[in-house]
Amino acid sequence: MSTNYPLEAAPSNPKEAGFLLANPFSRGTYRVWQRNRDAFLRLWKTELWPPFVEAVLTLLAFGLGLGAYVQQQIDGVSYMQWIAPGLVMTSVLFTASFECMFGTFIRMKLEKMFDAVVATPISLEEVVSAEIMWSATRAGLTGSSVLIVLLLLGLTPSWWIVLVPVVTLTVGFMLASMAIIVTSIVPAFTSYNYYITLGIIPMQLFSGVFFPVDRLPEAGRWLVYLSPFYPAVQLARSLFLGRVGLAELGYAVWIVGLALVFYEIGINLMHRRLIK
Amino acid sequence: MLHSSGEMSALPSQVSAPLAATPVIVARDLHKRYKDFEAVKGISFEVRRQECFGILGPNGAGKSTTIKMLHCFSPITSGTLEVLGLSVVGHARQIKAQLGVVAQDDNLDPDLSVLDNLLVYARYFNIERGEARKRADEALDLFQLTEKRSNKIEELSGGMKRRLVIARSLINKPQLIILDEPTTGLDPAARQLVWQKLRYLRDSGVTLVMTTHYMEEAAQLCDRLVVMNEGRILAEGKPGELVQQLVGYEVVEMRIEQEEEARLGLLASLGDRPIRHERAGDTLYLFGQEPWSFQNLPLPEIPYKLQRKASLEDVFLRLTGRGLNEGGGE
Repeated sequence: MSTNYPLEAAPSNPKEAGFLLANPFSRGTYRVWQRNRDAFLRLWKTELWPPFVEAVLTLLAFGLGLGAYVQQQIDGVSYMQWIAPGLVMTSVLFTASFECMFGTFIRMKLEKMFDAVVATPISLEEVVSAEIMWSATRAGLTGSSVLIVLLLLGLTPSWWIVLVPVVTLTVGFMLASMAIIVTSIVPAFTSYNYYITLGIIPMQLFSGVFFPVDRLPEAGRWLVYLSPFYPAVQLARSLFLGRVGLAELGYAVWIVGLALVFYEIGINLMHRRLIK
Repeated sequence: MLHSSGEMSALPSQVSAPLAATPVIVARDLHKRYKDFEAVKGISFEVRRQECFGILGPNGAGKSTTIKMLHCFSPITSGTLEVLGLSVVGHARQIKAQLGVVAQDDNLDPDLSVLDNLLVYARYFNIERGEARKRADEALDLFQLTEKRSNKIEELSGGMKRRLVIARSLINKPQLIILDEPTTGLDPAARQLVWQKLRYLRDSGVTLVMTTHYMEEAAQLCDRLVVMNEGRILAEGKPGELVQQLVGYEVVEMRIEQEEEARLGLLASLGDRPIRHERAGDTLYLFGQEPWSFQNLPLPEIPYKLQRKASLEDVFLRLTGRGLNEGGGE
């Protein structure tokens, strides 16, 4: 019996294999990523401009509004310069998380998109991987748009910022994987409030976006170090300020490591939720 | 294998004679156990090439579970299941590449237009763009949806959505199409149109496997069928043969209370005619086992009395009980 589909190794059944080790770079994943891209581009009029506007608004509020009261320099730069990389990463935090929460939940439960796709040669692991990859892509786009807006507004960071899009993609992948873990266990939309209130908002407020972490007491600082978002903000700021050293390599390795761990856990939990 | 171009080219190529003899699906002692209950309790059946095979049963019978195992969504618990000559264990990708699946819900992509639904679906099968475009046009034409090609999914009627889901399942030229309750929720006209298309596909050489709880649908479409209840197969055969074997030729329904029936000596009056009877609440059913069972039989004049041909519905009710197993969930 002939088939024009190459005989890639079929994914094993995790109930037998125990833990499924998935790979985010397969052709099936790319196919579903393309679907998400096409759907996004159809709606570009409503989807494409918000990140730019959000970036301008945020910078106006924090940089000009609040920043005017912060006369003190931080790490040798103005507050506006200091906060800018944090704003880039915050846009990544929200885009990546929300896409793999509400976006994925809608496609999975309401639109039955997952059911339709897994009836083709594409596996469930690939559909979920594509959700994460697409989410990372959007986060990368959003983060990079914010970066461009910041540049247009006259911020003069170092040349190291050419690496920022790579960082936003990777961090987006990590945060999307975390959101997928949440999506794999929520019974309904309303349950996302737990993660938003106890996960996303604390990460935004206490990962060194708005103030240096050393303002916190010892115990609080250690909690911040545990935040997966903390190394992302630190790395982005170092790139902006052009202060790149071994510590930054450490942050990068830590981010990639966390991203892979969250990704594999997310895929396995989604498998457990959907394959019965 | 070559296939003729023209109107048939939306369909898979005809298979050669030796291949036609091999079954498309072979299930042997198939079980499916969920955490706390067993949905399928050891079923065996074969589906032959180019037939329309029905899986009938009330809600909770295990039909959908069986379908999910067939299209490699749900892993089997035990037994064996071969689809298109391959075991579902470890060959999901190869099997799915050659299947068409029509799920119970209209899982069309609401973010894409009608045409894009087909093109994006073709891409999941790695069908090259030009070829995908050609097949999509043919499928839309076959299902009378060409005019709607640029519409949004939400603008389609229920019947159109259903036709589009079936059209979409043809995009990879499947040899086998699996349909889970293909006409549930459609109005009579839309249902007739879907039946017409399914008959056309069957006559073009596609093997169809479908679940339904509409007996008329099964009678209209299925060459062979199984009746399932509570995870087991209760009967298997051609619709007409099942009706004759399990019910008979003619049925008389009478709305008559038990006391009245006894007073009239109704059952005694049947004598040794080949007639089986069954009571369900206020209704007495008489099943004529021979074509002449009711000839010259005087029946009492009562307000509701109906003499009709035996149907699959009678088979179904006889096998699965009359409302006795309501509440079984699937």
